[in-house]
Amino acid sequence: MPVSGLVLTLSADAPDRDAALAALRADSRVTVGELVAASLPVVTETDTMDAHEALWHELAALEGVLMVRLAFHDFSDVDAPAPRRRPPTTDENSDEEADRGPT
Amino acid sequence: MDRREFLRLSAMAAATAAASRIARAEQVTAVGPEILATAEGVTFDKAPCRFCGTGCHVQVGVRDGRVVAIAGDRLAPVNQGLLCVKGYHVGLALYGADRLTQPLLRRGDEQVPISWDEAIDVVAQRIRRNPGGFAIYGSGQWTIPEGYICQKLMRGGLGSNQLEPNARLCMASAVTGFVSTYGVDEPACCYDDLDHADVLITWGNNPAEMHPVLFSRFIDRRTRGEQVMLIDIGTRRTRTTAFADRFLEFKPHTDLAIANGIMALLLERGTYDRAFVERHCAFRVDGDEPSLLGQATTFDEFRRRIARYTPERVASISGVPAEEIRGLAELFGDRDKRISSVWCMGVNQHTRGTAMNRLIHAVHLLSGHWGREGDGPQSLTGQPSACGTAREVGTLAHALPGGRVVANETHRQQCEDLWNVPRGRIDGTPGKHTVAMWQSFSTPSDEEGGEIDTIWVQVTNPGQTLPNSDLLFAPSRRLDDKFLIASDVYPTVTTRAADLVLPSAMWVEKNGVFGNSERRTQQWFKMVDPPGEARDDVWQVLAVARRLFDLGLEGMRDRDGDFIFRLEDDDGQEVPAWQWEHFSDVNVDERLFDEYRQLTRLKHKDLAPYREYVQHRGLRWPVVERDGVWRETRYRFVEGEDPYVARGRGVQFYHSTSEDDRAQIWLHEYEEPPESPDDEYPFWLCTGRVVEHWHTGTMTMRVPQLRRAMPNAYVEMSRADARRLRIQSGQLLRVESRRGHVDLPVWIDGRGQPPAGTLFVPFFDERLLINVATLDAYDPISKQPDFKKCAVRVRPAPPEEGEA
Repeated sequence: MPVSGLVLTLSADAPDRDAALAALRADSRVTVGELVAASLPVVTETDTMDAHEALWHELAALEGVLMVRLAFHDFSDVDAPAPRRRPPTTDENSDEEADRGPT
Repeated sequence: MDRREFLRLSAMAAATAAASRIARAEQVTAVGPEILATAEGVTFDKAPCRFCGTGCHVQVGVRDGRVVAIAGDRLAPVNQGLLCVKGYHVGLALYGADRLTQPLLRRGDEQVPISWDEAIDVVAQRIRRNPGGFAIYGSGQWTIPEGYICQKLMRGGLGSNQLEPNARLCMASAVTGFVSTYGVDEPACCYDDLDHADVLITWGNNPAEMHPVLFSRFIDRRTRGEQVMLIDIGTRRTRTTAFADRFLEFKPHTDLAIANGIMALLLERGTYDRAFVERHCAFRVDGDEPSLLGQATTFDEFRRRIARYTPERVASISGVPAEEIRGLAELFGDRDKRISSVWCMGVNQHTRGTAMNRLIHAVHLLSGHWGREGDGPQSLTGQPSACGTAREVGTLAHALPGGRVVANETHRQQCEDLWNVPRGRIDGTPGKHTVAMWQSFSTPSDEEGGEIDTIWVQVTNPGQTLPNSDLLFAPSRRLDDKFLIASDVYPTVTTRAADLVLPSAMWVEKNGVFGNSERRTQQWFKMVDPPGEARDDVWQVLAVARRLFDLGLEGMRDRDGDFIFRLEDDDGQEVPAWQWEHFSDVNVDERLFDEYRQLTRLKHKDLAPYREYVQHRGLRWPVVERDGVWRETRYRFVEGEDPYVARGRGVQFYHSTSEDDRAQIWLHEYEEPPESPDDEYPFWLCTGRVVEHWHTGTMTMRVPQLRRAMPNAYVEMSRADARRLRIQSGQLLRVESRRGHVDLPVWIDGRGQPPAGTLFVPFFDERLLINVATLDAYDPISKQPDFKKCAVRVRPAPPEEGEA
């Protein structure tokens, strides 16, 4: 199970910031630390590397989160990913869930 | 406490400490051990990140010979304990399943495994049969020792200047801009500017995606309540624009007019820094032909000619409203403000790249926004050692180490003497720049201009990155007398086309030294073994050189008849490091680096001994010993910062091309681009990168999470154009220039938002090669091609040809 310590930069806009904090506190994958000015330390924990990566992007897309940066990332008990032998063709991507860009 | 809980607490402690440093703007020290708590049995050591030119330091956690954890290095001044998404994956990038693990030789249509001994012999025999036809093509991803050993092999051993890095494609215009302005290459200022500038101007630059940790240093200040302004001058909206206070959208290629417009108003209003200019600057124009030195002109002539760039005229050329030009001039006319300019590919990949680099320096020099913290021009690089290896080691085709050039006899002799090779060994004629080298390789050897018959590619992927690749890369693969060697870590477009593939060690699988964009030299040690038979690039070159020595090639002997790469142990006994089993008997990197650093003082780019870098998270040159301490330099040419500035001078440009300690303010007129949209090809095409993938995606496309986040290339189009042409998002579109075409899905209102009439395509996807369409026209001085502008047309991809 990968574990990461991240620093989220939150918006100066109070409603956006509060909404982001509420969403983060409601997420069981995220442990929220103490807000220091606009910087929020959080710990993320997921079952797989894929879920971990997806969570990073979810946090980055959250209303009220301006930036996501990494402080610590432990994947010591995770098997190395086994990517395919070549990058996929465009068609091959169609059966994968892409959360960015058109396919 | 169980292990999970311990890791959770460790992660929270690291994140909380980083958040606290951001909030309090704490500065870090660059010396000392890092203590990280993580899973049992994991040991940490420092290394710079493998990816971009920012030079973030990473703490790499290793257990049982495998990288298992990554942390931002809290003692690193560059990133202060934080990493971006690419740093997050830098450890996993080692473990793609298709790492190259054994040498492969082409036999017919197949690449078959061979032994290292055979592979080394194949390379050596190709060189021996025609040393003048042999070239090495590397990159800004070479470590400093890797670049240096190639430098010495080629120029000091083979007497050939056919050595070139892909850095020609990304920062050659920055080099010529610096050299022709200050007489010496590389930024005088540093990243500290981001902590002190009142205004940050991004010129055709998107650091929010390309240098995110660096960009965050500036944005963090806003979160602390500081009043800082971001002005984004660009041809399309990007993630950087989303943070900007002002976005000045200009028509491609017209940035020269904007810079001229600022300077014209500074002079008209009298708000230029007269005292700074009179004391520290001279004026320069091109002669009959563009050149590095040009010719002197007067202040009055400069003022007269630039006066034509009125705000209204600049607005008509650039599309930027006249009021915005006046606003920029007002800012630069206010010396109470501190203004930092940053730029990267948008300015460099430009057929007027040298001119535009010079003009950014000129705006800062004329306005006196120069030499204070937060107040100066800072160019950025895209590769981790474009500065350290391509520019400082001098692996460009005309260069020698330490700012020397092959055309200068004294410079050649200095290298020949250090290398102990005969005087006259180094050729005084520059080798071929990137476009010319690959043109030659794609020309039959018995035709004029076809003399390059063997290229050894290291740590780069020209099959994907060369412009107009159907002209420059593909033809060679159909010529029997051309032989392509590729050293790499993963299969790429280039390795698949190669005649010989050599598997390389990657990042912390080997020792290394990088030099980042702020003159910071960064060292790391090998931490894990490379997979299979993959081996260090330094060893590969050393082994080939020794094979040539054993075959009797005279160039591999020094004046005393010894091997030019003779390495000795502490007792003075020769170490056969060319044999893989003995390669680690000495630290070859250390020996090469400490030899190289002796060549760094001529242009005051002094490096400290290798061992000093072991202790630090990098040091910015010149690094000079005083009172037994090696001290770095934050700002060059500034008294109190740069030890080579004479007392009482304030600012001293001591490498001035006019030999009077003055920097040059260049005048460059706006000129039309070599290719513009017309009735037949009505769109501008701009190419570039995305945050998920690094360059050609050879590493990042093998990290499943990154591949899933950005699975394939696309073409960004404005909603207005899409509506006009009745194109839907996701539709497959043929993007076609006069040189080639590629079929891509359309992304409307995507991450970047090009204006009507402009398209953007990223180049990371090897299945959708946009460089078949790009222009191979290049800057006349730097020889850097323009990947940012050419004319294309679009239409729905024909169904039968629409398959990627």
